[in-house]
Amino acid sequence: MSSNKGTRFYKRTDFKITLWYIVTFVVTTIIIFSFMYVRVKHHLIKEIDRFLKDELREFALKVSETPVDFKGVIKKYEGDIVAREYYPIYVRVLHADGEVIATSGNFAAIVYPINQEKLRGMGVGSSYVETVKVPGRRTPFRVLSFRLADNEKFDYVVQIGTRMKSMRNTLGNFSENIITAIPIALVLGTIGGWLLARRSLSPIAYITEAARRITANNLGERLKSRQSGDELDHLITTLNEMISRLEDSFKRISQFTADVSHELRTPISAMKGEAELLLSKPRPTKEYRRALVTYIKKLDFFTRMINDLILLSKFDSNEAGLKMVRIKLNELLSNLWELFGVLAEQKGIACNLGKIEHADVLGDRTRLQQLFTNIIDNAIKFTPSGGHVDIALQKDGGFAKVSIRDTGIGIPEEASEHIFQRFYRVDKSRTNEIGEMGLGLSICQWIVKAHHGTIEVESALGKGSRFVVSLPLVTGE
Amino acid sequence: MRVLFVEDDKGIAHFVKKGLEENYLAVDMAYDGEEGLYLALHERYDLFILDIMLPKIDGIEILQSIREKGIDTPAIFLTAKDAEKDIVKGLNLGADDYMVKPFSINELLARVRAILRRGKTESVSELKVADLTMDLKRHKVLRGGKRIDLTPKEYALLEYLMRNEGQILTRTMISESIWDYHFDSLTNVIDVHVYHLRNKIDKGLKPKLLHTIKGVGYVLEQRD
Repeated sequence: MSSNKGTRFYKRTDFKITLWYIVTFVVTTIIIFSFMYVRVKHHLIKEIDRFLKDELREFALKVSETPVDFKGVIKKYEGDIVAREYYPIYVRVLHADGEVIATSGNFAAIVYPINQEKLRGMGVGSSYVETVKVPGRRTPFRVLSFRLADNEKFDYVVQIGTRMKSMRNTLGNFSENIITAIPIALVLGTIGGWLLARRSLSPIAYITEAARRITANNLGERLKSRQSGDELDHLITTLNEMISRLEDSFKRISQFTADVSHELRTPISAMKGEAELLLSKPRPTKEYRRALVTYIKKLDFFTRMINDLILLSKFDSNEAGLKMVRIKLNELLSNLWELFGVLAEQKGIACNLGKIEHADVLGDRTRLQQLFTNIIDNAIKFTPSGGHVDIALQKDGGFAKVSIRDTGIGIPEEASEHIFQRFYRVDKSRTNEIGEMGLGLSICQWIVKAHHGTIEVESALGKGSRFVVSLPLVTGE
Repeated sequence: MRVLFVEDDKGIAHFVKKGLEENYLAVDMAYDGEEGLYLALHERYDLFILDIMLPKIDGIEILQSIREKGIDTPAIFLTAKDAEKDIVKGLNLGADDYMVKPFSINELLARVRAILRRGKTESVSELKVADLTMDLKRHKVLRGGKRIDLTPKEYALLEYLMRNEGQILTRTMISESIWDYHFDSLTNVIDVHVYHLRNKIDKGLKPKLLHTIKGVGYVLEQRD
């Protein structure tokens, strides 16, 4: 997996997943085995106890046939069951007060202290079972004590026991099996975990490789989806969407650069040609003067363009440095109208200040001036003489709505969605006119956005356009 | 009046020096920060004009060193468009004004004059250029004894021109000081306003007082 190059072994995801898998697997196995061990042991002891009870019943039966002759019974008994290979029986009979009456030979060889207290506490017909560790013997004994009484005839305690060797062997066997099984489980768990991790991570290696391959030069490529509809497919889709967005911005940037160079190249070559021509032979001072005046105008245009571009790039990187202050929008508009109204007048257009309500907004004065200048300037520019431009300001649902309506040439429907794009011009033939660079509305849109407002345009070709800028009102102090 | 101008760009240095000298100011040039700082500390000047981006020592450091030595000669910074942080820093250090490149030489001259004139403003109650008078208290304007009616903005524009008699005022300077408008619209809107004013104060009268400097701006003065 080449995507793992340079990643430390213990930091790799497949390693971590495997490790977790093993730990979980082993812990679960141990818990299950331990539980089984305890249960088996419990059952085996229960089994021994049942066996002892059966023996006791038999012994009691024999005693009832020949009452009180315990020694005889035990003797008879000894030959029969004491010498059993797996479950030899140990028998002892006591008086209720603890005095030993009879003992089988094998019981005499072990030490089982007589617990007076327990004996006294026993009712007639009751019993108790104990596991007894006997010094010098590896296996403990299980001993059942029972008070055997028959009215006035007799009252004894019979203790009957057996070795737990067989159980010990069974359990030992069982543990051995478990101890053998755990390493096998460990190995299987490791292999399983590793395979599982690799299998679920292999698409990630592919994604890593593919994503690494995509650079600025092949942004058109996409990661292939596995069509499995899982999270990793979702990741691939998300990455593909991100690459699409990157491709988009790359295209925009290169388009933008091409546009800027084009915008600059044309006027610069005009200026250069003019200057060369002017210098090719002596001219009257007046001509030089005229040329210099146009130069200043063109240079102003360049300056403006550079400023606009810087502004746009600052907007893009959110560093526009807007100085937001409370502004009386009605005054700002009236002042603009006062300043620009003369332009309309000069062109034979009526510029009317309609209903202007008092409205305060939070904004950057210069940028708001720029915003409305661009729109008003456009309105005047595209309206033929005899038309009119109407400016109005109304408050509407928490917003200050500025409407600038003209009776100009209007915007063709197919163009209206593009007019806010950089360097977009409705009329391509206007390219070389000073002051027309197609950045104005793009900047307007950014300014409005930065003020948390909206800008909308409705237009009818040949009848006019209406721009509506909505900016959030500030109320109170 | 003597000005120290520190600027490494030869093109800008050339035209600013020329502009200042044509306005009767003596100009010492330095082309890098080290030279500039040396001159600033060893000669006496009435004004420093400092570019911020300079070889060896930048303009801000120069001003810092000068102020540390207790020299409080006024200073103007020249800066590129993006250096808003530098501008704030410069103004905090006690610079008096700043100009963003590319700038108009006429605006620079206006600011130089404003700084050099500072503290010498005498309060006047009347402005007079040839036979054009402005009564600042009664807001009355007379040309050759005849009353001229002006709108408030026209009055403000005329006052601005008369107070700066003989000096070229650019369209930007006019729109900023009369309309508080800080954005260069590239339209001829100021020309139209000046045209209206000219119709009221100059039309049919001699001598003409309000002159157009083509491609640059306007000046109010009596020409022979």
